[in-house]
Amino acid sequence: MSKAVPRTDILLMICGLALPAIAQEAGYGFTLPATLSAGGMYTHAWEQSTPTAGPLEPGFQLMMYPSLKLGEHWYAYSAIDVNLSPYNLFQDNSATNRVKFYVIQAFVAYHRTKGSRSLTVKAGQLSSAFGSFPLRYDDALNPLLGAPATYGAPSYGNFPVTLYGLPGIEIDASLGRLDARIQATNSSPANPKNILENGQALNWTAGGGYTIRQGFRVGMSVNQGPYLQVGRFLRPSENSSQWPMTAVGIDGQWARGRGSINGEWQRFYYLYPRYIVSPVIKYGYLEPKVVLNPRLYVAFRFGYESFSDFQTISMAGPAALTPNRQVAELAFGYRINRALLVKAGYEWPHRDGTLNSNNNIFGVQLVTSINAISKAFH
Amino acid sequence: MCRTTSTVAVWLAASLFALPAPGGEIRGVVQVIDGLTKKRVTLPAYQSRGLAAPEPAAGPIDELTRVVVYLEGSIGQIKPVAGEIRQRDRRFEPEILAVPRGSTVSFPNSDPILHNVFSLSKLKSFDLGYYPVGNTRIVHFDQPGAIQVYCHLHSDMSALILVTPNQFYAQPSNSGAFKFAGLRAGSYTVVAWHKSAGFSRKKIEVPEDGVAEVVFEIPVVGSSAVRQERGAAK
Repeated sequence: MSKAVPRTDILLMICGLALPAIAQEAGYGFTLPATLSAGGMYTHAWEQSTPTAGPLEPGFQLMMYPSLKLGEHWYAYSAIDVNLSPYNLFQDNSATNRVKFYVIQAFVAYHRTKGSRSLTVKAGQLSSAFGSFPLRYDDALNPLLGAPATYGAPSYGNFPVTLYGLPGIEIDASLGRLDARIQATNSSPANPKNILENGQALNWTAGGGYTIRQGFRVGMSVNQGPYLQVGRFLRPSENSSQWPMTAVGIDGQWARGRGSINGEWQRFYYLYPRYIVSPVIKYGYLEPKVVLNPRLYVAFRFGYESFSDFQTISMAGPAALTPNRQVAELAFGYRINRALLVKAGYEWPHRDGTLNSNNNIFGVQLVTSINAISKAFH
Repeated sequence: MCRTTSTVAVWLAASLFALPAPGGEIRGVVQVIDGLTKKRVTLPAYQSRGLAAPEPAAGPIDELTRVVVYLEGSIGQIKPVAGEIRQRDRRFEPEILAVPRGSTVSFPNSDPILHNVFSLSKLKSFDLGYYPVGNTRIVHFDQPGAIQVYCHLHSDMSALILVTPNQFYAQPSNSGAFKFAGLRAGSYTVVAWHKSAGFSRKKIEVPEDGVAEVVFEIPVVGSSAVRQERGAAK
């Protein structure tokens, strides 16, 4: 039973301890969300490139997003990736286990919103503005284990669009149902360079979209700029700006109820010196996801990549660049709690004219979302 | 400084001179004696394309809105209610909602952007999926306890539904006062719950046609230690 409290004491106590009201949102502060994922892949895909590799390769990936809020309109954002490669197929084409470190994003931004209008200006290391997948490379956002075939490691000649950022500036704007962005970078998303490297050349990327209704948006993007480097296809006397890559993409996002679909179609046109017929790569994928119950979802991605013929001046006639390929991936996700997600997936890569199941991949990831770290300054 | 003086005086006057309601009554005061809720550091939702995302409202923190007081156990008849937690400006409003067992809670979306409300609480797990502005989904709550609610798309959105075991629950007024009337004489356990501080329980004896008083100081654990630390700091 509680003791009777003299009322004068209550009054004095309350007056002495009244708390000043403080703002709920910090004007200035530091925040460090992170995603830690660990897992393994079972595949024979590595055996050709890395004979010492076993079929089972473990790995991890730590994505950290240290960011500063610098008042009402300014902020600094970064995305830092530390991983044990090959954690995902898109990180590399070999099974050479090593820890890698990437600064995917590190930029200062000015942001303003008024009603249905918004404007953001960013400068620094940026995700490519081409396509839609660079917005959701985090393992907690990507419902599957792999990435669409055209997105991947920052390696020259392997993937048309890097997922690992480019130095540049970008303006994003939205007005009602319309959104648009324009980005200027120091190099191509097909051959990214850091600001100290040789061979930098201005690349342009622009994109836009229209929200048909809430949850259904269609968009498009274009990229144009030099991508070749001396030593491979380019002679020292040649200027890369004469042979640019031109990429066009359309994308769509739909979500309603417990279902969502993401899709993209892209066309990459590569110009090379001493080519009569330059190659074209077309790629498209569709990615539906269904939430089966609050803890369980299933996601599927089917991608199709087609390669045109090409012909150099020394060839008698055009030849196929490489056989077309299809990649299908199925994954289940189980949420242990709000922070922990287990993903298990199977990927079937297939090239026309081959019947090789050695490249199939079974993978498991345990994804941990960490949102607790933040410090308000003011 | 003494922002609660007038309201507490009103409460004292009421408790001294008002006629008690039929049956026993519990009157109390909750005082939050330390800032418990962290300020949020929210960046713009830059990782999205499409419609402009609204900015979270920057209102003041009132710790008392994060407190619910209720009586433990099955007492009297339950009258279920229809509660509401709105998704507005990338926040749940209110962040804390108390409803008695058997009630429903509606989750209308007032934002031009999508949200995906979900809970993985053992007492009630649900995933409401995506739905546009002006639409809502309703969830039924049968089990008493605390159910945490989040948004899959905006990790800094969170709310909590406290499902009470009976009809005797309240969120304190601006002054921290609360009252439960129409109680039979007997022993009751009063619980004060704060989103960050957790639960605090006090046993209280309610007389027939009389008033029992209770005072809660939050944070519950080591509240005197907090005062001592403040004194030492001065």
